[in-house]
Amino acid sequence: MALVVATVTNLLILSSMYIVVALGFAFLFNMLGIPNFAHGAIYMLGGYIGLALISAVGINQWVALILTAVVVGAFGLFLERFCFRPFVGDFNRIVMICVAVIVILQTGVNIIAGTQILSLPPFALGILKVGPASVSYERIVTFAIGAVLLGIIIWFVNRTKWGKQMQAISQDRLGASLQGINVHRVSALASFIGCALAAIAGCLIGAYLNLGPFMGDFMLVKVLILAILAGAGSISGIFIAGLILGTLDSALPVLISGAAGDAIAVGIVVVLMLIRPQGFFGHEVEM
Amino acid sequence: MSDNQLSTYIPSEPATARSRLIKPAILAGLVVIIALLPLLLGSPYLLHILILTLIYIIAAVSLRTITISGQFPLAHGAFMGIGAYLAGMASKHLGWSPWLTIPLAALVTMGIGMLIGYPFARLRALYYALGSLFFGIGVVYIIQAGGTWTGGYSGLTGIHPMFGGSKTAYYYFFLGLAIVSLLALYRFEFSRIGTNLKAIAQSHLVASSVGINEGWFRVLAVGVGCFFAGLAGAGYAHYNMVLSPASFNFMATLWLVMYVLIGGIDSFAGPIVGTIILILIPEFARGLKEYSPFLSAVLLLIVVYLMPKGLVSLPSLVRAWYSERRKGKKIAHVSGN
Amino acid sequence: MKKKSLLICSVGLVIILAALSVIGCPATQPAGEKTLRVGMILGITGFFTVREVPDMNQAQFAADIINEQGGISVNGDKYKVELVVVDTKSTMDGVTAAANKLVFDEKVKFIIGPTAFFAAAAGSICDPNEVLRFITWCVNTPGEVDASTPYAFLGGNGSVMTSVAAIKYLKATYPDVKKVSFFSPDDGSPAVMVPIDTKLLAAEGISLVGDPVLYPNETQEFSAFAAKLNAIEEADAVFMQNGLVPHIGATVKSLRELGNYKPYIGSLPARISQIETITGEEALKDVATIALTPGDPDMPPVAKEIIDRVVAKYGADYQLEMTAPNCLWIIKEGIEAAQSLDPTVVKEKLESMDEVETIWGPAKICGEQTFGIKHVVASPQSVQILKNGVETTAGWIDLGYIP
Repeated sequence: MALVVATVTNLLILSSMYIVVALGFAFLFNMLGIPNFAHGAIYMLGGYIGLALISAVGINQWVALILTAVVVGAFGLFLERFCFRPFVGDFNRIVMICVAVIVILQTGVNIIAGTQILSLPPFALGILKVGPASVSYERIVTFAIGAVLLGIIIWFVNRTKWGKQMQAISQDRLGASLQGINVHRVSALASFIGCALAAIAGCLIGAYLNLGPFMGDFMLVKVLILAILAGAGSISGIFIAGLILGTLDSALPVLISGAAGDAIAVGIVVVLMLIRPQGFFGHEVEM
Repeated sequence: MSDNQLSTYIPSEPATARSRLIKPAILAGLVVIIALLPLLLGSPYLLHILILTLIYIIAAVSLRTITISGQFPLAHGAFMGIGAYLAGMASKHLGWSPWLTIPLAALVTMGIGMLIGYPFARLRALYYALGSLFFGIGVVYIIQAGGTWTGGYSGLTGIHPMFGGSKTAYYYFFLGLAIVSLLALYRFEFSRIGTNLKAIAQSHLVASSVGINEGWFRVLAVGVGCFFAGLAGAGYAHYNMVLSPASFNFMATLWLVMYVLIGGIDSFAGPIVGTIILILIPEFARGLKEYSPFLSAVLLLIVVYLMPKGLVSLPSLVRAWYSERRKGKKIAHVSGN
Repeated sequence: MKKKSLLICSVGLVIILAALSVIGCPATQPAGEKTLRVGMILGITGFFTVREVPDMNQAQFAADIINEQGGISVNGDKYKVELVVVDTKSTMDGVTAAANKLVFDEKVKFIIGPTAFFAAAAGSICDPNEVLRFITWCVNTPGEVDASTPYAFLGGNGSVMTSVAAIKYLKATYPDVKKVSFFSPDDGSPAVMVPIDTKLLAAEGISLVGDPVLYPNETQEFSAFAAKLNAIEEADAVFMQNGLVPHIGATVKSLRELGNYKPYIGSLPARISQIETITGEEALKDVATIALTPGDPDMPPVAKEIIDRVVAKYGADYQLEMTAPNCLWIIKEGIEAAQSLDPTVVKEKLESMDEVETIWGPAKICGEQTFGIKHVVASPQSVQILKNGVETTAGWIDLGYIP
């Protein structure tokens, strides 16, 4: 019984972790059609910058969280302007640039801080016990932040002018610009938000677990899975996709021992993709 | 394409009897050098690097062959891995000879590729890419979950080698294999089938209106590409005698893709150039120690920003730049400076 | 047009290849100075640097100490040690390339490394060329140090050694523990280690209970696995074999969150102070690992000297692998015992010895049954716990002779 309760708790929290990280990627991919493979590396960078700000300037982790989001968001602006904007639609070149960015970020961080085990200070302390369930406040906070961010982003995409412009661009880029939407400015904003979200996720998980120069590789796979299952033009889909993957990742290790669990999870994703390649909630994109 | 074609016409040198001899002479010289490389180099380590280069050339060119059908597979490393592990397991557990395992592994890999390619063929470009990416990741996980059959995460050891200890024999074997594979892929691309594939890539509507069965051709392209990927992988298994799933993971696929893109995806020679450059340059960067990955990254950036068509376009870019300068001088001369 | 660019490209490439052949020739040694070049196959770039780079730096200190004492003496000559490091990029391909480079280009006769399952890739190049290698860590997967690797010695440490120490500590400190659950990464070693550990535990009257809980190597989030471990209620303690600091940190944290405070014995060299950055102090009650504590009063003298230099240059939080320096020391001892620089002679001499001096003091050369070859140097191990908020050694365990 305790195992079932623990699995359900893990499911919720894992899902929220994946959703927070994937939101940033989904912004660029689902809304603007830019597959930012460097997202994992940016998530990692966010964690390290958060820690650097805390150690260098001496602020607490909440202030660092916001500052890091801004700093990495600015990096996202730079990326969009110089790395993505010139090559929109050219999948090949974007992939090459992303690989270059990944290599530069990972090698740089590895040289500076690779040999140490580093972690951000926890965002909350203590353990909450409710009946048979037992969860740390830290994970609850991560879940809460994830839920709040998801809510804000969904509101942003559906209710604000900017969000609607992004939806228009994701449906028909040319048509949108003909309607007078400044595609470049919207892309820049999306990139800022996307990278800021990645940075926040990096700090949260860097506090709960630990930082590593290559932690982004693992997250990138999860993020891609969520983005694909959700589909183009859809942010709400990330939520469902996150739940699916969170369920797989929390239940499969319990049921199946060892490395086979990963293989089955990816197998299920492949099957889902074959059933409905354009994702469950979005629309088809010509690329 | 040169931007100056409309503005200036500079006639090329007329072909004289002497210039007609130069080309074949250079080619012949090349052939001699490549054939005698083991003796010229005298370093087994460099020979090892060259052998790896030949193996990856086969894989990279076969990857490009799939792309001419408009699909962009992100699982090629995994197919190399399938070929490698099939050959390796057959050699280790069943004791089969490499001359048997290598072709068989290539054939089975082709079969798996076509089997997977069939349902994936419906997917449009980007989705095909990502779907194959997940498939590739899944393959690596399956290998890691393989227990004592595949050796799991720590890898498969004890594969039988092909030739004693001498690298020279391996070099000639892989050189022969590469030449045969490249010829086959070249003929495939410029055959009727290849032309059909390019038609499909450009427009599925037009292609099907002419009666080309899109799905079947796409699956065929994947099959051919996977055959050679499996071949390269199986050869690698018998050369290295040790396999690790990490050699065939997403990063490995991504680097194969880099070899193709850096060289130039539009040209048959592109992947060859890209593979050679991207394998040899890091070897020289060893002196940079922990900074050596930066060199590869810088190379990628240079190609992305300055050479959109890849490194193969370098000569024509240089020529275009040169003719720009000559045109500039001519105009300056004419306007009486 | 296309063919011409192809031509120019190929000519350019041939020129590059020709240049290669000139540059690729190994440098000649300066005359007069007698040096012994020892190769090192380690990952300077890639994910393994967190372990390998500190190991490399620590080996350099060992080399410095040997050179300060005059070097290695063979037949009246003194040889200074020079370490030649080749990067593996943390990949198997890189290990093969590094082995090729060291054996054929640099022409070394003694090599330190690689680590764990990477070691299998170097065997096919080193063994036929009679190059003696000293593995830094052994997880007992096929091809590391066994009957198929006549020229490989285990000079560093390994899963078997940490197990022996961990189990002895468990028995001594927690005599009421009779059943343990088994936790390990699914990297190919459980197939070998579960039977070995079961036997070692049984010798102390402890049994393995429940299915071994295995996790994929790249796992970052361990709450599901902690839940699984927690569900094995009959277990009095958790026995973890292999793994890295992030793995043990995340698992201990999750277990404590679930209310499980049973003893957690880590048969792995993870420093408690580093695990603490992930779990916090409270969670580490009743957690022990087999790791080194700088400033430990019982630290053997040579190791102490090296660690003092490490702390002086890199700080007290620096990773203490200390397996490569041990390998180098054993190379020195082996050469001096055999009074020869021929790897085959050194190998045979070491095989004939029962004991060899290491940076940890005297250690037995053993392992025919467990490993398949008497090539294992079993050095004393230090158990580490958190006491009063400070990382402390809970004692040194002499492994004796491992059959």
